[in-house]
Amino acid sequence: MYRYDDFDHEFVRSRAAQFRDQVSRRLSGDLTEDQFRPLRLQNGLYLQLHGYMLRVAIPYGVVSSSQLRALADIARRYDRGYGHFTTRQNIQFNWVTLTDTPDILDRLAEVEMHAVQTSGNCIRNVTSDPLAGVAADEIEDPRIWAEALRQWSSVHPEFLFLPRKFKIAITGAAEDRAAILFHDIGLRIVKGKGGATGFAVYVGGGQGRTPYVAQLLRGFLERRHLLSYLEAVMRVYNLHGRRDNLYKARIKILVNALGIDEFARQVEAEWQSIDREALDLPDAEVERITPHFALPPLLRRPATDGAIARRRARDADFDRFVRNNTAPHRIPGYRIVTVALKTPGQVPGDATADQMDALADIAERYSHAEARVTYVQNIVLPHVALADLADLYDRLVADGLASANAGLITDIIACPGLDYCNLANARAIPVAQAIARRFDDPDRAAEIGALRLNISGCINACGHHHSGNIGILGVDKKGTEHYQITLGGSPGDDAEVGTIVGPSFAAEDVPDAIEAIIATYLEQRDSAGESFLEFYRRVGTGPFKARLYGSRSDNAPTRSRVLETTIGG
Amino acid sequence: MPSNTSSSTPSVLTANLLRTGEVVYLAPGGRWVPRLDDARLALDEDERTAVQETAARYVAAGEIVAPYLMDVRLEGGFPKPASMREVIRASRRPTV
Repeated sequence: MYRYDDFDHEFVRSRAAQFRDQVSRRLSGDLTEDQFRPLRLQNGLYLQLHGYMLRVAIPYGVVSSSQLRALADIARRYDRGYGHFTTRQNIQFNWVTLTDTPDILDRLAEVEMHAVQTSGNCIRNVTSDPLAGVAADEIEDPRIWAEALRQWSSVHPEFLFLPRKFKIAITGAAEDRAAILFHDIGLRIVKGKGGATGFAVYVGGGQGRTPYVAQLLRGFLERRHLLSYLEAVMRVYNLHGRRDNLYKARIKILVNALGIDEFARQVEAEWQSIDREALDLPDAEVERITPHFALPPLLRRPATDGAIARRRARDADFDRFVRNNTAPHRIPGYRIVTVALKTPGQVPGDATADQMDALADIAERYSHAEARVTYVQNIVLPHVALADLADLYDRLVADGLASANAGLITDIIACPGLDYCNLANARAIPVAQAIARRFDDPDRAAEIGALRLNISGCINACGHHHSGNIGILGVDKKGTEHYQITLGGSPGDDAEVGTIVGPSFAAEDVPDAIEAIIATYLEQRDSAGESFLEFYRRVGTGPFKARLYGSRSDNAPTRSRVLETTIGG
Repeated sequence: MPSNTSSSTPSVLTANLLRTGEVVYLAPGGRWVPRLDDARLALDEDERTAVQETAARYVAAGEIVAPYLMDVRLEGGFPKPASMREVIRASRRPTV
């Protein structure tokens, strides 16, 4: 993985020192809150429902064992002993104080981490395929370019005060595992004429209150021109993005207002006029960054392992784990392992300090001290020897991390919702927990098969409800939490925004509604080979509406009690 | 100053402590307290204006941030949150 050079170290340390000074000036009264707010936001510090929340960047989701240990240390010393992995491959600490934050940033800098630009109207953490560099279907490793983009976008003087936040995702694989079509800019490494690799550039995707799937801006961009071309895209957006209206300020609104052809024409005109030589990444820099992402020394191993096969044959839980939570590595004899932070009943994406330490130890022992954070709020161990799978699994079981449900109905994305977030209208976590408990039976989850179920606590859609095969959106209906269900969303190559199926449901009715949706699918699918999404695309919302709402004339939910809670006085 | 209140219901002034971010409520005597039960009630427009003016002084002094008026209902004379958001906030922890 990428290691800081002297410049990177100095940059991050000086940035932490700068923020320490800003905090000091805020506490002494030299800065007002209005003056301080943009400074703290550009260092990832929010004021949330319960207090300050610090969002730490995990660039393109890659994290080392020593970094995981530092995150565990921060969780213990400065928080309440846990952190929350987010849909942008970051981690959030929910209970930090303003006075401790400079020390936390210093601690992060020690392990080459920071919180720079994890908030604010700037280019945010670049996200990528969590299987980058190891996936069997990869054309080229996207992390080299993700790192280049991280450096290019960090305190880029032109792009620190954009009309609105800006998110870039990049993949180098045949299958999109980074939801690039739901980003402001999505980059896909493709092969051009003669086999040279370059980028397909997509623009204007996003979720939120106005969801759009990104459109193709340029089918093939030579690799060497990536930075100058993105500079041109950003300049067009920076000039014409709607600064007058918060809800219309994202690039997706501009692209759709202009039309993709006119937007592309303006980008091309800008690109032709700028000094590409000065802006593009020098070959020497590409050559400097590339070796950081070389595969670790993986010993040659047999592609099959008799002991593992025998354990699978006699241990159904282990067999399920291997089937659902592991994927082929590009080197035979190795597997990519997903540690799902989705044990039914747990908070999706949360990890305790002890679990982070355990993951650090496990990654060190079994995966060359490297892990990845996925946008579906899981952890990936990228380099696990096939022969080590049983030992690894036993260790995960001991640490409560062996949930064998990756990619299934209980592998739910959920934003923090009203339990933590200042923007939320409704809770997301308890709904996710209730659904996960309802579908806890692993055989049933296997029968249902691949399914993406996503929950957001408000229209800002941090829980990606628009791109869920089943999406759930929390709304405030006359002071009570209700949930609107969408069907047919997809985050992948066939990206699509889900369709609202009908009137919303009271919180306690949501598991029954999901049950009805799943029953409809299981009873009416062509075969076990027809996925939920394929079934939906064949039949539309009709059968689901009939099951959910029947012949009710009012089409209204039958009950309206709020979620039972354990809140005391 | 934001106000999540309607004129006919009792209100309480809430904010976060600048240094820690902790949720607090304005209590009688200009103290900032963690328990909603101990908060000062603002029952009419004059009292709402008064607590907002008090809060503004503490904002200027750098003790609190993000103050706002919230609706409450009374139970046995004690203020209780009128919305789920404020129930969760007053509990000082998530519901899960």
